[in-house]
Amino acid sequence: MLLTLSWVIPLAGAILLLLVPNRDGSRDGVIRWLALALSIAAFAVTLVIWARFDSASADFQMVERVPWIPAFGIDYYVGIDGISLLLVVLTGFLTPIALLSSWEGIEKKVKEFSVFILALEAAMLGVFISLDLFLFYVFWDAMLIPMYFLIGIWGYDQRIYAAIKFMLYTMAGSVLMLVAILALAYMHSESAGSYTFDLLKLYALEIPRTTQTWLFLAFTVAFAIKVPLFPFHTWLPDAHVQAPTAGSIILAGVLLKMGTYGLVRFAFPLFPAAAHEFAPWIAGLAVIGIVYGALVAMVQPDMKKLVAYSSVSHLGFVVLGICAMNVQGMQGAVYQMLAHGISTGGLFLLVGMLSDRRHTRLISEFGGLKNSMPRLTAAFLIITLASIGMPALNGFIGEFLTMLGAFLWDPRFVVVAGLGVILSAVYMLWMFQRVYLGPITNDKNARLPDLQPREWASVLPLCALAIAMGVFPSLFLAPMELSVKKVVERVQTGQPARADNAGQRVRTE
Amino acid sequence: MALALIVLAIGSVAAGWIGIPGNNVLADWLHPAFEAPRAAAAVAGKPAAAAEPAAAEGEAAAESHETLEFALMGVSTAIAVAGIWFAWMVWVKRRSIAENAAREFGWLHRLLLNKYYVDEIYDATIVQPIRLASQEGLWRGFDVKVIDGAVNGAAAIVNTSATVMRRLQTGSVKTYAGSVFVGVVAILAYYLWL
Repeated sequence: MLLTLSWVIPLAGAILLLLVPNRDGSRDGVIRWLALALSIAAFAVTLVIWARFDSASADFQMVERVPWIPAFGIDYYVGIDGISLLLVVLTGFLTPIALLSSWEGIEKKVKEFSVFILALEAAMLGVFISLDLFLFYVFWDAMLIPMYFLIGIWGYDQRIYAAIKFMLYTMAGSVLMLVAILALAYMHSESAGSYTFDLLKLYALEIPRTTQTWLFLAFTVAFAIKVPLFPFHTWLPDAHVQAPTAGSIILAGVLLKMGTYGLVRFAFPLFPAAAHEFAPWIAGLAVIGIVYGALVAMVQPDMKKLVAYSSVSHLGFVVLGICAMNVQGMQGAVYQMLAHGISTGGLFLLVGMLSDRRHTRLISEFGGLKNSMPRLTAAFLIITLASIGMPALNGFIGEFLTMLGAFLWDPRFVVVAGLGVILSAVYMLWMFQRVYLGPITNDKNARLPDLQPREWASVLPLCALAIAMGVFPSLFLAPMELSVKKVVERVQTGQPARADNAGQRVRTE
Repeated sequence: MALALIVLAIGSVAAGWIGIPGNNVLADWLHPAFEAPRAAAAVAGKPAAAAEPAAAEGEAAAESHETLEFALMGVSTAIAVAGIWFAWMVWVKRRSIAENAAREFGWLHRLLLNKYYVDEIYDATIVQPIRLASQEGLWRGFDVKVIDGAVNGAAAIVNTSATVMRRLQTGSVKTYAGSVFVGVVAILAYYLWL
């Protein structure tokens, strides 16, 4: 029941909030506290899930299964393994922080805002726990609706354009995936006589090579847009920049991981032969994205856009790790997903604080902020270094493991990806230098208030986690290890190793 | 600043002291790490008896090594002292030497003062080209014009074609009947005469 509870709490909470009469905005305070309490309750449930999770098993756990539409073999079928476990916890962790971040930034339609955030959380949790492809698709598309309104209503000047672009981009990919899902169910009925959307049964399906290619591409395009993989990334800078702070935190922290999660859970293990064929191409796009995202991030005048493009670069490492298709690479990829959620969520949070104070995000408007707000500066520095991937902070472990995995597979990709590591130091430190160091050049920055108690409450957990993930990685790697091995095994055995690289395959495992 | 220099000076004397030959406490610190492969090679390559004289040879080599180290230490200390003395003479005792030299070899003085212009060379050949190419080429060019151009272009094509097609939907029944008639004639013509 725990898994169902985790997504029903925010959904029921959203419905409950709808019932609170608040036409004149007099109950905004009550609604904010109620939404925060509900999201913390959901986080507590995800923590209980983690506590009850058995790391010694690679199977799906806490499985619940109820027939939903029996005629088509559609079930309400949920469960988690080590890969989805931590993403579920991450979602639970970031939602209260997103709500805290909008305490003062969001002034209009507080009730509707809180409802959409909670509904979004429910859909995100649903995506990570679904083991039925139909159910997965329902949650996947349900996620778009609250995000669309969050960007479109509470965003900045270009919010409508950004919201529609985000919606259409994602839908274009999703529709292809829907066709592929239906094709899988149909093929199952051809071979076994009944429709099913059960992921584990579909894993066992034998799919001809050419069909695999088409279905793999349909899934991968949907996920590549979400990641986003170069060149499908142009929705991201618009959506991130226009979204309110809470939207950016959730978008960067969780939504982008849906794409890479989809690759690990669906595209690669369902179609291993096609995955092997296309992995070098996808990895190629990933390393282009790493360098390209970093270079474009470097020249952005707007802090939010800089962080947005840095996500393109960082997610490139995740995709590279997945394409390596070995334990190190995949583990690094999942770790990097979590690390990126913490550090980029933190960056958007802190940039949002500056934006709330000055109503601008242009780097040139700032300078010397360390003199007026030393505590915020310190927090920003920690998160900046985490994002760069300094050892003893979370980004290092993920980047290192993905590059190690990719090196065992094909060192050429790592050579290019290494450039991205250097460039990430360039764009992040350059921004930090221009915004925080030196003398105060603009009088408006001289008397900005430092971190408020409410802001401490959202910043401290992120900083603490960034350090904890860098110092005690095994705490987070242990639960996912067996599950990652199982995925790697499935991807590898689906494609018998060719004679010429058989030795390499053995070594990489 | 002075305090930091004092601390660093004490530290560097201590660090140098540790390394004096014969008294070297750090030399064997990582010994096992580098010894292991050599021992393995001896076992694999040579018989056990051959390893004995090799060890004696090693001791003799260590002694001449020590003499060499003392010689190097002496020479480098002498060079350092000479440098300090020269600097003191030129900049403290007789400042005019430095000022005359700077005037005499003006270009050399400027070159050294600007660290051979290495920073400027890097800035002009690496930093600015990458920055400009990223800003104008990758971002404003490729990202905004090419990719987003294609994305917005697709939307524009749909929009334009829909605007054109919209004209077919006049809402007038006579026009629809007329086009049905033309269609029937065309189909009949196809089957009867072609």
